[in-house]
Amino acid sequence: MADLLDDGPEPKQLSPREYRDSLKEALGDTFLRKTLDKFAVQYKANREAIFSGLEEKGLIAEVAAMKDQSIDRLEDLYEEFRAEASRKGMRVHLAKTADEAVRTIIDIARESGAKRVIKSKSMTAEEIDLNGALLEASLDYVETDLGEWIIQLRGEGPSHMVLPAIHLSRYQVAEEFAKAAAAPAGPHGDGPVGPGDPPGRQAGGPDRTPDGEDIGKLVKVARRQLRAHFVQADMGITGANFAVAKNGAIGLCTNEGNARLTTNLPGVHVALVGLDKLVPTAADALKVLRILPRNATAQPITTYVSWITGLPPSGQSGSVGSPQKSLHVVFLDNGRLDLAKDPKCREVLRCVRCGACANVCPVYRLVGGHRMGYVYIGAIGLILTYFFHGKEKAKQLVNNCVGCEACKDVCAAGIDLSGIISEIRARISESDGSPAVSKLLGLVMSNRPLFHTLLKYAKFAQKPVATGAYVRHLPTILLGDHGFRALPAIANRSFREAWPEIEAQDIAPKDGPRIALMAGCAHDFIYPDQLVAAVKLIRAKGGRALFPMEQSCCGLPSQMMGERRAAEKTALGNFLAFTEARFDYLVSLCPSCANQMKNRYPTLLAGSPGVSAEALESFAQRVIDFSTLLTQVLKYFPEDFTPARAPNSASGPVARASGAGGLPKVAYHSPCHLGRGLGVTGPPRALIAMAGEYLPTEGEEVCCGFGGTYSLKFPEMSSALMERKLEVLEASGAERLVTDCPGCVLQLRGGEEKRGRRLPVEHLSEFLARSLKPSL
Amino acid sequence: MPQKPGAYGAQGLGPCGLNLCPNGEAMASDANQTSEANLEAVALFKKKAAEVSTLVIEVPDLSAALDQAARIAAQADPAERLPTGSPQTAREIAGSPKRLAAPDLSEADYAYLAGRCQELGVEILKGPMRERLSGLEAAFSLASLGLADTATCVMENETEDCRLASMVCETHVLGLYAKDVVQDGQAGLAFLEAALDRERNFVSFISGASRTSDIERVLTLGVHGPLRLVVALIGPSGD
Ligand code: SF4
Ligand code: SF4
Repeated sequence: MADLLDDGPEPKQLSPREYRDSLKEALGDTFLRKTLDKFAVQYKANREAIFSGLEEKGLIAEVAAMKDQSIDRLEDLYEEFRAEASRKGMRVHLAKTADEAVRTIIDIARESGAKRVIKSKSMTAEEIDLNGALLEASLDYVETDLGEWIIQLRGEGPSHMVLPAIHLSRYQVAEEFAKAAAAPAGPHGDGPVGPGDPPGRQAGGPDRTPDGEDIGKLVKVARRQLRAHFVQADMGITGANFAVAKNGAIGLCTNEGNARLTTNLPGVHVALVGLDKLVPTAADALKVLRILPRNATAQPITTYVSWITGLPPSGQSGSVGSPQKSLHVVFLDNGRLDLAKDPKCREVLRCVRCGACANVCPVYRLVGGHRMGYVYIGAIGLILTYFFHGKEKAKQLVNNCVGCEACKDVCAAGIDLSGIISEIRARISESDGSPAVSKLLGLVMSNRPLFHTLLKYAKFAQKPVATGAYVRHLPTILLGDHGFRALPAIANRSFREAWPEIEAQDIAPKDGPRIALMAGCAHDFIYPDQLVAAVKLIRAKGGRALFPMEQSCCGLPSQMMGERRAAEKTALGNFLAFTEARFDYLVSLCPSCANQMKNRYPTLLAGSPGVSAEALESFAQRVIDFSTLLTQVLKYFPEDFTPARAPNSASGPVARASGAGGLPKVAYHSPCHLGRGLGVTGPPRALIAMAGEYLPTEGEEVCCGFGGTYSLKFPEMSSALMERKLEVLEASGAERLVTDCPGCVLQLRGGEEKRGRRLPVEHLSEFLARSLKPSL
Repeated sequence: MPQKPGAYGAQGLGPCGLNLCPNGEAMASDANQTSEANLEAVALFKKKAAEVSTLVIEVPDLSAALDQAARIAAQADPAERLPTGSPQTAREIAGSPKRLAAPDLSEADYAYLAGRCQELGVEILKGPMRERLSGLEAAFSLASLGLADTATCVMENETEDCRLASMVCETHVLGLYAKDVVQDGQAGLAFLEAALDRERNFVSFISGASRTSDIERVLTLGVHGPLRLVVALIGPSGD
């Protein structure tokens, strides 16, 4: 299972092939799939409930702002903490590297003569591979967080930052407990129990491990076994959730209470704390506390929050055996101070380790945490692997992101996680040179005439194998793992080829808004009909459709592949082409293009010669998605439609008209870059309801697995995401599926075609244009 | 005799007779809190407590809270004897009565509670807790502040014995003066800041029983600490 973690501190690097094999293996783990599926659904519902009535985005923004200010002055905050904590008798250390932190902690153990260590859960300790070092130094250690203890018994690393053993079943846990109980008694055999001892007071003796059915009993076994370790330990190691600079205080959140015992029982307490945990004041720590447990486990607060400053009162007059405590705080840098100076990625340090970015990640949901990070897990895991553990370990991992932005949307600290993941890809390909394929892609995509010529050739080349809308009869050897969906054929006539004719049809242009169409590659060359439908809808309400011919790919595919230069070059070409066309609105029927142009061009093009900041801002402001254009600019209302009865798309049979009032039941798939990227959720659903009966379904917003180039790199992942989605939709009773992204249409329509179930899939523009009142 | 309700909070005295904050101000009951605000906070506290399976019992005064603690200890299932390497022999444990720890009570309150325990056949102890790290049916402590929106009790500045007792017992009974319940963490901020300004302190926010979801995400209570948390809400709110 834990092949990325098992090999100790220096695991061998997986080749792309090996990494994909490990993904396939995880996809075959049905327990894992079922558990993570259930978790994803419950987490979403619980999170919604716990945030209801709260200003979620406001709370997140508060944390982000506070963290940003702290990141600006990490070194000062450290100094402030050190001065205050030292004055109060705590010992404060700063470790530049992971090795230095390990050495500091081992030295503390040696100096104090500690032999037995108990640990309370700390991802920072995992980051420096403290466990390996403790063993090497012949220090017995026991993890006391239940999940961590379980994986310690199994010799694994955590597969989730908050729920480290989520990948294991109760039966696997029972098995480990049985093995542990059969092993010779712990370090300190307890007094034997007399035959007359009443039930409920039994002690000592091996645990009769329950068979696993009863989780309550398993937890009892852990309670009993771990209590012994707590009592005997002479050093306790914890992490910290906050380090309050002003007071020289640390704060720890747990549900189990193990941190309270770990900090109280042993004579030496060592807290290992990343420098990023420094906050100026207690008020700032409370800001984090308001969101951390809610985002992590949908709890209002963790059961215990312990705040420690100075050497906490230990013992009581007359009490024996309570040694004078010593408290060490070891701050870990390990690249954090450098990261704080990295303008593009510094916000990574805002992370409060809530784990939510894994909970919502569709890739995590499929393959679990051991494939989604080296130590840290989920979106932040991909990122921190690069910054804390180096490029080599991150290389494969950062590719395994479909770019759906679910992580960014849920992040407790408002980090642009998906954006930073592409930034890291770019850095890796810049320093390593890009793989031949992505270099070629970048080259072609940033050269519009070349790209378009190639597409024209591709059209002829596919002739022998394309029938109708799909490429068929491609020898399977060519498709390999990519055969999970039917591939669309390149259209006979691209939109740009058809444009002069379409433009000429507008014989009496109205003076409505000038709406420039961004076709994007998919619409221009694969689905021009969807654009033609959009033109019809624009004109029906008096809009003026424009199509600047010099436009090209939006640049997202290049950016996803880490080809930054190519992405910048295409962005600039488009910026100039559209600016020249003098538009009021720039609309794309592909939300990935729209998202790229609205949200990423401003960063990509900032500082480009001849592009002023104002022009960029005004450009980005006028980029609009298709459904917002229809509802808010062109003002479509229900009376503009005669509800659709039968789709005329090539993708399916005539739908049965069986919804309310005989309308077809229409399910919706919300494209990632629309729902999250552009934050548009209401308008497409409202439009569907104008022309059909909108049928809400589970997980509408979960990624379909297309992810552009992602589906080429990880076809098995892409197909697993798609299959899961289609299963839900087919079972929902929907008669048609509408979405508003050509990539999602490609994926879902192609998947349906392959599955033979024939749930018609169409773009919102086709669906609406067909239902438009004839009078319009 | 037990001290009257409010004796700790209102006079700025902690459970162990120390000032709650360095300058001697009464932090626990925020002087600015109106009675209506307090009533509202208490109602919210009760609602939120139920959501995290904290049992709230309302009592008129501290003596009634102590009565309840003794009764809870007497009626509790025998606490499990965990292997702790303590010097006690198994025979001593087998024959021992139920136990209640109350390390930080004032002498007068402790004497009162001891009386109640004696009537009910419960053994009461103050410490040292390091010798009694298991087999403890209940522990009683006093909270300094309640945060309503998360049903949190704030304990601070207890002795090590008090902290340990609250962790190793099976039922933790926390006395909380209703007038010390404030709306949320923000309202308790001044208290927390003052507590962390001290030369040494261990402040605990406690919001329920020890819990885990680490095995198949099934919520299970009592993993390391108490299996149950009972909050004895003392006296009328908004006084
Ligand atoms: S963008 Fe989507 S796939 Fe990528 S890490 Fe975030 S949630 Fe996972
Ligand atoms: S990156 Fe954001 S969502 Fe992920 S663990 Fe950190 S704070 Fe939580």
